[in-house]
Amino acid sequence: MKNLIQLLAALALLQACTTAPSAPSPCTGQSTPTERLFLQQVTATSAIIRWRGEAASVCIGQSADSLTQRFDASTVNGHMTAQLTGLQADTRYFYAIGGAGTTDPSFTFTTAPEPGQVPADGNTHIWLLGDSGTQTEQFMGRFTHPGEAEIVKQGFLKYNADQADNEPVDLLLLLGDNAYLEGTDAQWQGAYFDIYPKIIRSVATWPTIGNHEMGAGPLDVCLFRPMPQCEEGPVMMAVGGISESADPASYDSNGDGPDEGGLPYLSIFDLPSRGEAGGVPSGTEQYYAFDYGNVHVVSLDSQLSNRDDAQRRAMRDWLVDDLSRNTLDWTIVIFHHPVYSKGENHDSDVEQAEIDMRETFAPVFEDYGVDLVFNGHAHSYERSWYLHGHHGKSDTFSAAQHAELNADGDPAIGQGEESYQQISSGSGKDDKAIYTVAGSAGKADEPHPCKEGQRLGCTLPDWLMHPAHRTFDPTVSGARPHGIARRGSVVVDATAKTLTSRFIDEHGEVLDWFVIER
Amino acid sequence: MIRLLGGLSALLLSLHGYGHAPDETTFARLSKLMEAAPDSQSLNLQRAALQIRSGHLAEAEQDLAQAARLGDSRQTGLQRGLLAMARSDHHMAIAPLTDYLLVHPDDPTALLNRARARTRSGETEAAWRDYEAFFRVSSQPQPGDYIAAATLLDATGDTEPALNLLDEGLTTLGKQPQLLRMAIELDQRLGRLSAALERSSALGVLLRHSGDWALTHARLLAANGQGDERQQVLERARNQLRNLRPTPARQALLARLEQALSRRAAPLPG
Repeated sequence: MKNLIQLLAALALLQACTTAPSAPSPCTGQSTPTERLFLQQVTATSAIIRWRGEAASVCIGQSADSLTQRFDASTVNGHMTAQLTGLQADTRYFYAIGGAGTTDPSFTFTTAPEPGQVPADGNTHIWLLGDSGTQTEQFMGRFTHPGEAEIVKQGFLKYNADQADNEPVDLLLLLGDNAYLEGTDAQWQGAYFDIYPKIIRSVATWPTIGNHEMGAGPLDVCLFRPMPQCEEGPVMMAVGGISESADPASYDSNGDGPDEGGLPYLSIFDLPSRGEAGGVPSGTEQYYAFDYGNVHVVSLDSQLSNRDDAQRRAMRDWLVDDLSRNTLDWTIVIFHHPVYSKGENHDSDVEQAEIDMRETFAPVFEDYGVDLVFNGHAHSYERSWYLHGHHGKSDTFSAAQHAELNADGDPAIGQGEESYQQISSGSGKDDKAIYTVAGSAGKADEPHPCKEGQRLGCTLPDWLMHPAHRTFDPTVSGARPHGIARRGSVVVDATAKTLTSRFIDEHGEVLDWFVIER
Repeated sequence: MIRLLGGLSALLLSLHGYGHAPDETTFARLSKLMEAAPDSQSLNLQRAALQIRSGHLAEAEQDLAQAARLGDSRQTGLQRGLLAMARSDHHMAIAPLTDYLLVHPDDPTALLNRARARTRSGETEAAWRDYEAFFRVSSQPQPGDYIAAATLLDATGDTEPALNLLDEGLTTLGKQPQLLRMAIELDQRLGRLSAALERSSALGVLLRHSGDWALTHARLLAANGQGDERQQVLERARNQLRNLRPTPARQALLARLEQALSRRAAPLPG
């Protein structure tokens, strides 16, 4: 009898539990359209969603049909910003801007794995875009590269469908010059938000500052072309990408002096200056680091901090601290100005920003276990041998001294039997890195040889001939002895044992690849 | 006129192709523009800036002299100051930077550079006033600015104000290793070992108790008479490093840790 009473009581309790009204869902709002929508700082436990529009909240959940957690947003630097916290690692979430209880399943993102862990699918799939911002590039009122960034994107999507099983991108890394010509807010809209809307609402973007993010220098058109307006004073023409300032507050979009809002890049992106995403706090959003599973990524500032001795020294010391602390499997560094390049108009033997980055930072990369370095700036593709100790000009490069060699004594290519080993068999240490210039995600330079005495807007005889970069088969379209003049982007895949980098052209073809094993 | 427009068209095409050229190309661009507009102060100033940055100081001086003749000479003050600093003639940089600041009193670049020029010239009080003004007007001060200003204060014996400035920086920028390291060093120099150890513990969290941090922290522990703790910190760091992938930096650090471990902390006097 006692047992029967207990059974009945338990049944009653069970019924009460199953019929009791649950707390009302906080997600009763309307899904609201946005002008721009993108993710920032997606970590194992948190994420930031930013947008422009009326909505002031977002609802999330692990099913698109049942969003149950609501986060309010606040306005930060002209964007609604919702900080999502308390998330689970390596977990797919759906979301609705405006706080609706259901959503289109394409509004989704996946949190990072716990630091040190590989994602559930075993691979971190990274897409890198250098100098992609050409959709907004204009010359005398005419768009000069319309659709070219889109073509590169389509090439990547084709590659991803045909050769990568449509694996979702985990990280989007921007290598600078992602909004031509001056990096204004409107140019970011046209060259970034409008070109990659579905990708950037599903994956966090991690950028670096290029010269075209840093505005324009002024020139007075009246000096060359008298016009009626000149009677009233100078008519200034802005030339994008020539700022030499180390101060982001000096950002000038149109040649008439510093803009009130400062550098748009720093207003648009919300970057982890305080170690929010796993890197050592830098104290500035101009350079930062983060962890994603077993991958550590560092974004350096070759445009501003690099121009000033005190700032460069502080950035270098921070980098040493950050890399000293890092124990993850793979380390990737991004910044805009290439340490080795013979691109059109960009020669790392000449350009001071490139020389400073090479002399100050390349030794740190090699001493502290960096695996891959990616840059943009030159609108072509160049990829180095597996390097150590080459910090001078191109004429000081010696393959025997500076590159990992194969059994024949030639520089190893990084493919098949010549795959690179993270711990070099020669030195017994992790002391080498690969340097890639990938600045053709929006346009590619073309051969047009300089006439005698001409060094401007033309290709010099040593174009794409930096000896620290790998050689290419000259019969490949666009190939030069040490580079490829083709539009494209880079995909990096990081597993527990391998790090693979591929250059994908606009047709979805792989034009170069290499593997580092551990 | 037709010839001029034709020339202009070619120049604009060059500008477009230039987009973002190296200094060498920019010289060519600016030189062509200056041929067409020899009376432009702004072009002379732009080319002077590039000449300075590329180390062509005599050429920069010529451009600046020409720029000074073409308008308000105070507008050339920033570049004249930078030219003097490029020649390591820091004292000579002060006057032109002052001229420029008369026209642009809140220009952070001019303030920062005058602070540096005055520092190198031994005008420490005036340099500090420039740093103060800089921190007032700069919307985005960087870690390197705080370190440079704190170094100036400390060098003049104002260690306490230097610490205050670093704390201000740590509040503005958030906890950051370079500022913390300097604050630890200053605390230690002032004999505030417990404060230094407290900061060092915070730094240890930031750096996940890396080997580099362990060496610094161990020195503080030894100075505080905590020999056993010192030994533990060093051993933990050594054991951690032994399990990590070897890099040149880690191997060098391991050698330093082994060396430190081989020496016990000196016994406390008395």
